[in-house]
Amino acid sequence: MDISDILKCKCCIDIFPEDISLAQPIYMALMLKYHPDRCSNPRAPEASAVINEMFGKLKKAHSLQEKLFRCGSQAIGIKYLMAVTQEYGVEYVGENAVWLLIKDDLADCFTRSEARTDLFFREYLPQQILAQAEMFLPFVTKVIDTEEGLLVETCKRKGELPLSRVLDFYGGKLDSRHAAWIISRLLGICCYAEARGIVWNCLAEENLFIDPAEHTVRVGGGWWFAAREGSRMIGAQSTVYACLSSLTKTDGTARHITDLECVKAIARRILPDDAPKAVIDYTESVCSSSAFEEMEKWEQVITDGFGGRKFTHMNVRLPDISESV
Amino acid sequence: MGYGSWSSADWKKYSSAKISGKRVNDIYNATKIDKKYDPKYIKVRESFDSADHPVTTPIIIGLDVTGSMSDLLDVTAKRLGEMVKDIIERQPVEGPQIMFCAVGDSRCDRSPLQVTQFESDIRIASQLTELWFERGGGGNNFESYPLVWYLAANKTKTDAWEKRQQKGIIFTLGDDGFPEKLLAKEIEKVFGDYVREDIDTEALLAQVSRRYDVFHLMVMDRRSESTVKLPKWRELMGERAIAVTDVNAIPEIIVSLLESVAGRETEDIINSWDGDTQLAVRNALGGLPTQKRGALNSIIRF
Repeated sequence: MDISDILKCKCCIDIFPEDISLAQPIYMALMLKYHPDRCSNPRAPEASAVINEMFGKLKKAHSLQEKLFRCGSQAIGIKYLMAVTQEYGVEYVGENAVWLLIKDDLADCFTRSEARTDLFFREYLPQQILAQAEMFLPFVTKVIDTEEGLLVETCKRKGELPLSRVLDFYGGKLDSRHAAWIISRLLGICCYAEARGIVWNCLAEENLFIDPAEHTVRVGGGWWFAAREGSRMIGAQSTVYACLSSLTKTDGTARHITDLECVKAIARRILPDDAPKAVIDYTESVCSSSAFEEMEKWEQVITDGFGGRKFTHMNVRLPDISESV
Repeated sequence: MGYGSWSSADWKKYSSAKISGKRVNDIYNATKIDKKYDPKYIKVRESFDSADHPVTTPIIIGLDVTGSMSDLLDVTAKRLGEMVKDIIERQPVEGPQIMFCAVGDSRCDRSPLQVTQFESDIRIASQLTELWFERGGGGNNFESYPLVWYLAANKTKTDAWEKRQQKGIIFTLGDDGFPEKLLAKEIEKVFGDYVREDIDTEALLAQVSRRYDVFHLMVMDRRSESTVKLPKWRELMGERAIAVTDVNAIPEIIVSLLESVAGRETEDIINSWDGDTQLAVRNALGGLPTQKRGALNSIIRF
């Protein structure tokens, strides 16, 4: 890498591999080459500062913090990388797990919810569809009643990051192509819910995890607010409540349009001002009555806006976002 | 638009010259639509902050001016000016900027929608009286109230939203139902816009609700629930379809709803009025759960 390449780097993997043991020799080599004492290029100090910063983040990212929860005479320990405050409590994000601590006064929203069990999202599904759905469904491994609140342990893949943190890293807006694949995945998640006759009622940045390398989106929190279409919801987080129709605000009934409105609201928030007009227009447009119709419209918008699908690399990784906590 | 300030003195002067002691036909004496209020020529209506009003709240009031409203237009139209005075003076929301719409039936009227500018001063009243009360409408069980929503969703730009993500407020007032859809040809006729397909009213309401809190006031005076299509409105809007049993209380009801949107407790709002007005406001606001709207950054339970 030359100096101008280094100065363009924003994410750790722009310079280093994710594996710290492989990154170490690269760091040494780069510092030998660009340390201001050894390199006469006037931009060497800037370059070595970038190299140091990125390597520093990489080293720090995998240092786990520990937290203990009291549970009667026992103590439950978790090791996490970052803690994110949520309306329902706190989300502790680990490498392969997420622990959601739901405050005592809101614990009944979980315990009373039909959607608290995996079965709600998975029952009667053919294995083939289930395998695909596992990419975005929440996966609960344990629920523990602690003195601090209800602790819900879930699984996640290592590369999955909280979308809210990724947005912070990019200054609140994503490149429009990155936003586009997230919108595509979210519409897919809406189609799944519609086919199953359920409403997520929790599609908001704070509940979503994205895998920038694999371009997947998972519902990682708030899923217990989901309900069957036409049935009464338990509650809603304020971001979702803002997207409810006035009728839903009145009668609390789960409706598919809530999910579609939520997806368009996310799209409006994460898209940059210079996104293609077709894409901006789509996010402002009236929602169809069905997620499948909406997906069809979106497919056309992608073609109109970007000239077709093309894989676009998103280099943000855990080290880039963990430091901001 | 929206520059300038409202003063009671301006209103008194205007009211005594143009409104007091006059019949509604003399106040609203336009005989055809004024081009400046014709949505076909409106690219966008703007509600911007200014030195006089550094924080503004856009308010849109759509009045049904079809024939079936004739007996109520006299009271309603005269009291709208008073209502503007109340809104501006009581400031139930910060920096109110008001835009009026006259609503008819786009399936049969010549001018089913007329739209003033967002204003903060006496021009609100003067522009209101320049609207044409066509008194048309057909016997099709609805008037075209969703035209106001289409306009708000597609042709308004507000600093409240752009700068602060704060919603504006829309009130439509009338005594009839709403169409299931806005037809593409109606939209083209009224706004000159080409849209690919008819727009479902429920979806349009969801769209406009992204940037506005939307209410419909069902004017019930001497009308039954089935006449004003109360059940249908409630199915569409729930608590935000407001039954108005006393047309004279419309200004106070609107002011109360604005206070409710601003987060004031419903009971406090009701108790701030006296006598018959309090009763009418209670009837109108009774179903509104203030705490839900007021609860920011917290879980809302159903």
